[in-house]
Amino acid sequence: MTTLLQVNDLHVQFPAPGGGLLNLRPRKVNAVNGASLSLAAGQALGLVGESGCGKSTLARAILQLTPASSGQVLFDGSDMRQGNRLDIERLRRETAMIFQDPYSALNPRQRIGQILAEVLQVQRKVPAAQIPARVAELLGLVGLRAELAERKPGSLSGGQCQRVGIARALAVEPRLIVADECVAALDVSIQGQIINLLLELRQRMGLALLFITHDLGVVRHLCDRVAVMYLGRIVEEGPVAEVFDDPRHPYTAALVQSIADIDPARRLPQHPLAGEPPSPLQPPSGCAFHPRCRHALPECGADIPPSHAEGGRYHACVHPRLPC
Amino acid sequence: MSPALLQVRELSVIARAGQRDITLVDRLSFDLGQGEILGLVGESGSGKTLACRGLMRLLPSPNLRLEGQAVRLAGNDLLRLDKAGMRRMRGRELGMIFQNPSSHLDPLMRIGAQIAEGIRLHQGASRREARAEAIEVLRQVGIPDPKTRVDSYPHEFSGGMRQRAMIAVALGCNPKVLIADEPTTALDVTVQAQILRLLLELRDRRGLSMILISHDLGVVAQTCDSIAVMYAGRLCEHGAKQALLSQPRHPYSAGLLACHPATRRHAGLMNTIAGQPPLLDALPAGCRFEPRCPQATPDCRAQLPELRVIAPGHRLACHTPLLAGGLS
Repeated sequence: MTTLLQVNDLHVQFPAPGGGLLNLRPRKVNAVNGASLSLAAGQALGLVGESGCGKSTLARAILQLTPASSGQVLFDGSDMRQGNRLDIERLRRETAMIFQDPYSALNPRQRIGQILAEVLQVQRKVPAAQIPARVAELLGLVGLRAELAERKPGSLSGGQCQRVGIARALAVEPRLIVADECVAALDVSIQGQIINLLLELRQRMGLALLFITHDLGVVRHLCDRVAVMYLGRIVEEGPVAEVFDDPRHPYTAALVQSIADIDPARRLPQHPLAGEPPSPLQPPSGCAFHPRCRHALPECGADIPPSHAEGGRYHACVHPRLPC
Repeated sequence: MSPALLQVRELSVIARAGQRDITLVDRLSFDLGQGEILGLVGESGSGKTLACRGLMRLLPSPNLRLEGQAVRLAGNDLLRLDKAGMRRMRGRELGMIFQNPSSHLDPLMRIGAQIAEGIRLHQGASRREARAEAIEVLRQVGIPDPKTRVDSYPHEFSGGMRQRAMIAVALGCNPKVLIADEPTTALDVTVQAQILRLLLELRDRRGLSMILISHDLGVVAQTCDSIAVMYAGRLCEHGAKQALLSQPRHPYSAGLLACHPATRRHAGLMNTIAGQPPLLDALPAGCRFEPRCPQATPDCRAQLPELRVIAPGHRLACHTPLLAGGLS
């Protein structure tokens, strides 16, 4: 499989408040702090982690919507951070994004048909005369009736709006879709419908998918690989089944253990992972997870653990595989 | 089992919309035992939050009204109490915690003062006693260094700590029943596990009874003793956790369980329930789940199924229940 997206040691910094009078001592937050990942054409990668760990910022930096401060984003072999206007235009033509809140991602004053037609016009995907037919086709693709083109988002349900969001992403005929918590706002019965739609579209169109979520159960269904993020870094990456069944990083193990399972025999962990993710304004020294880690050694607080690669899996921990 | 601590009988919440009434919660009845944790599950709009707001008589709009036979707690019928009587019940007998602690804590008031306010009001404690009690409650909910943190403001706390602080506010007056409305939905999974563990500990230590409202069957499965499933304003199944999870009898309960992302451990298509919940102003005449139900018969369309006891401690409202032997 060819690599479609390769991210190397990406850093994203934001200015932070508290720089003193006149901002003479500017402070920075490292929202993404040396993240690396790769995604093959047609593959689905789940990006999981708790809120504030930098998942969404990483996704936006990949799509060049948020400037990165250092590192590489290789899309189809060319570095988008060094890219000129034509490169960025190509990135826009070949990638699309689906958002969390289906209502606020759609313009409430536009009809569904207009929302989809606008993408087709801007990206010059089809001749003007064929736009209505293509809009109907896109709606059909996501399982909506063509009559809905006349409606406005306010008169659709959450699940229907999310389908429109997916149709809009498909309108550019992308090779990569970035979906940011796109089922988190939906009820379980509707959530399953959207996930199945994404699975089906992936198979039919060979789409690559970067699926950002905090729900590990969803990742198991939808993704081939999973990357676990903690405070701006990828701490573990690998095939979904292997990472879930045999996590190497203690943080991954704690996440897997915290999945709220419906099996009545599986009890709530007796001693759940203590503490909360630290603030990126004051990141701990060394391994960012060490203050919460049960197996932390003195060296964990000293140096950032290097990344180990082994049989298609990566982890950044000096004492992996210990039970949580 | 000991006699129920809280008895809810035929509680309805009705909205006035122009000239007509829309029933948002339809004749809800259940018992809650001493030390029991009841999970109330359902999708958004199924009426679970409104039902609990109703039994606390805290309906969020003047267009909503309550009807019902009785809500009995500690020898009182909450539906018959006057305003002052109801105010005494809230806090002292019934506590409530919410999904978003940030919007239910006063940002300009120190955490300790918010806990102490209720203690002084309901127990007539002095300022000093109330403060000491607030520190004790903060310790019980697992806030580190409570003697210092009692003087913190909500913004100085993290999300999980704020949820602990809100639990402390509710526990300050020593209620017998705690209603927790999606208490972990806004929290990260690792913090969610901490808060659920805390709720279980509080039940064990204080004998607290709880109604845990959640849309996540996983959360309910890990914490509750019994589960009540609501759909479109009605209770469709209510039973002991074990029975309901391993042998759901209502097709909707079975569907919800099958849709849960953690149900199947391998990749592939997820189970779904086709269609969407009905609009509450255009309810079908028969069973409200009938348009989405794989088991539906013409009977289901004609007649609304009433909740019946089908086994000790297990109630069901369905004309075509699934066999007790497992999923059909």
